[in-house]
Amino acid sequence: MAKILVVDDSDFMRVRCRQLLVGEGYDVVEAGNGQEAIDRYKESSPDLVMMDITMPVMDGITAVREIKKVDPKAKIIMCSALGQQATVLEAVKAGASDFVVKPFQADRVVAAIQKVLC
Amino acid sequence: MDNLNISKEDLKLFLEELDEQIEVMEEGFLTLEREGADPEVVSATFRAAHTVKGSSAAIGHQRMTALTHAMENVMDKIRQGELGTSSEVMNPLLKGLDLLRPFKQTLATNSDTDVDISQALQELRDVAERKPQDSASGPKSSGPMDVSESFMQRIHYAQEEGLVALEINVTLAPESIMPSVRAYQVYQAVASIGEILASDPTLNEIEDENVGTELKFWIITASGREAIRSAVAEVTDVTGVSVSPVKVPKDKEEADRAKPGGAAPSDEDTKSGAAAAIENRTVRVDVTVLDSLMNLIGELVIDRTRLGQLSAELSELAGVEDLASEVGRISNHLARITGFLQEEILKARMLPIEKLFKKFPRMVRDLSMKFNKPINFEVNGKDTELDRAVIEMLSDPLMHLLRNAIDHGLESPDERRAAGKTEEGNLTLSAYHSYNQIVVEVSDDGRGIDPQRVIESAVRKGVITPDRAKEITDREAIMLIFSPGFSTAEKVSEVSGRGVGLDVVRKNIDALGGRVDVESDLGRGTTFRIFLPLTLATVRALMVRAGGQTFAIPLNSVVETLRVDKRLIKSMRRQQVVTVRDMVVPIYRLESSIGLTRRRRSWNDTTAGENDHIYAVIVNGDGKTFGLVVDSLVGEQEIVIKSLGRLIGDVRGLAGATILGDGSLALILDIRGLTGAGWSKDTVAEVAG
Repeated sequence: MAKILVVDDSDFMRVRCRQLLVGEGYDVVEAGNGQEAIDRYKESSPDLVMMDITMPVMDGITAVREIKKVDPKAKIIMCSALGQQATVLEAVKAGASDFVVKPFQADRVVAAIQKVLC
Repeated sequence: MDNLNISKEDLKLFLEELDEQIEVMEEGFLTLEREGADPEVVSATFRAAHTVKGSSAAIGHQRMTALTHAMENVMDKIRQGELGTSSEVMNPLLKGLDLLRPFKQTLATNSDTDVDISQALQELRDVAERKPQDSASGPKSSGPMDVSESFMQRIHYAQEEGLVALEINVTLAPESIMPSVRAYQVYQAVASIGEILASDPTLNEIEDENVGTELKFWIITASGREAIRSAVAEVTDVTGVSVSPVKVPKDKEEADRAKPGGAAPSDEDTKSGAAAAIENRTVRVDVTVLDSLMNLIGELVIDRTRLGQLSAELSELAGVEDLASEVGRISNHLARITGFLQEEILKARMLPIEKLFKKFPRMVRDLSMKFNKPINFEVNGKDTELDRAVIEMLSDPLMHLLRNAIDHGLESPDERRAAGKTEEGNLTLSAYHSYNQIVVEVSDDGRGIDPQRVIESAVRKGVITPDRAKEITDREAIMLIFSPGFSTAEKVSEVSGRGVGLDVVRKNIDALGGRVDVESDLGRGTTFRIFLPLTLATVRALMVRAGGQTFAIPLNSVVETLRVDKRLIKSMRRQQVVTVRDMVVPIYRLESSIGLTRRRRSWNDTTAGENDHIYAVIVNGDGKTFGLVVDSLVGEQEIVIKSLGRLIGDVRGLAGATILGDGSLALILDIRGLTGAGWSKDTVAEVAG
């Protein structure tokens, strides 16, 4: 089964995300900020990254750029709040494949994941 | 004054046509400025200018001809792709349009005018002589989507190499959360398939978040149409993709038609063809014609009732049973038909609110420039139908609310950015049906109304007492902005001021039998909602009898009806009052309140069946509550308002009359009028709230 790296500085969000993804049958790896995400990515080479934007230590956009340097084929979905259109656009330019908007609607998240993975 | 060569009849036709053309141009200019050089809009506006030029020349109106000629020249340059449609280009065109209006006015009133067109002419000429590259600086120049020579050349070469030039039209879901990101994803998808020659919006516009729901690309590619379609459809929120070949035009004329937007001629043609057919099935009717039709139907109703009575009398006679039943059938049929007729005429009085809405985009655009606040103005529900009288009276209140939203509601781009909002403010004007009402909404995503500041200001201006201020809820506080005396000179700016406050907006809406409400979320925006009755021509009313006459009291003024024991009627300062739920309410005899009788009758004179009680209808008008004493209550009924007109002239307190089912006349009370200026203090003494 596909492995998904969930990057979010909020424990709560990570737990919610894990519940949702495990429920859908995915393996889940977690990271609490951009820097951790890069380390985790190198260790476990996940099939997909769910990336929060605003995080301490290293933000999501920078992490996308870094991960793309490590693996140009990395598949990344941005997790954004409303009103972050410009930032999301930047992330997509940096190589993110898609985005989902918080608070998550389970079906939208799953649809986005399936679309990006196939 | 230009010496005109036109008959009165022809002038009327000329003015009507001029009106239409001005509207076409206004709408067109604004669309072009906002959305770039859509070839269809360009030709429509060009044609309009051309038409006015021709007809004004025909009547010898030289200044109008000169003006429209200059406008036509600029439009032609846009049509040829030599000029863009930035604000710098559109401004002189709009200015020219503004001068056509006074011409229209003076022609209609047959007065002289000293409208000076020389400056406008100069500006139009300056613009027309600009080099194309100068004009490409606007935010939405026609540049990238123009079919320039080199552009066609490239398509030509590509075709020689065995590639195809395709036009891709993509529709995004209107509810798409981040349309510019979706547009970018679509752009990426398209770019991965072929070489993008042009796109609308351009990449820059996408990055500036300047994206609508329609995207258009011209590409050169080796891929098949199906592959492109599925690749683009992959992107979330894409609801439609169509791919069609770009035709290489042979001459200029064809190039115009082949521009994106006109690329699917068959489709477009049928659409406009159908629209034209509908257009031809409508005729203009003067409102007075509708009014007189309404009156004639009233007469019909009376005759129908007479016929009914006649058939009843006939059936009493021996030997004419067949005749009687035949007359009875006819009478019933006539009753049904008149009912339908009445309904249809009421429908004919309804107009789509578009008539009113269409003047606002221009106003918003001008104010947006004046305040330097970029605004995304959206208009919804243009097809919502309202009684034409309501539409006319809605104009000022809406104008006021929109100005207010732009002046006070929306923040400056800097403030918005600091607040994490888009620099472009969002302003929405919508109309829709809700239950038995029409709702018109003005909504902005600006700074919202701060209840605390409203309270402070209301206390300062003496609108409420400091004590009241302590217990007031946020919602009540916000509603204070409608209080008379709240918006004062302090807030009057040139634009939203005009010495008119929101209290006047509320008054106007009240006068329409509607109400206005406001909802505000501090920091997020404000929504004003106007609730209106479906029509002013009919109203639900409480029917009562007083002084031998039937009266209709509109239900929106009625608080309650009471049967009062005469012994409970008290006298306070020579005013008779009753106590209703701890409130002392003055009471008046209905017929004397409108001056039908001067004779003061004692309550014992009442013709009501019960001698120890009276019937009182408690009504509320302009915040004053009082009781009207009537002889009897008849019931509730939907009534059609007829103006009193020459029957008895204008009577204070009477809104009009209606013909009842039996053909008799009922007078409709105007409670607001009863409480109005005409009533001296001792007629309606306001007693304790």
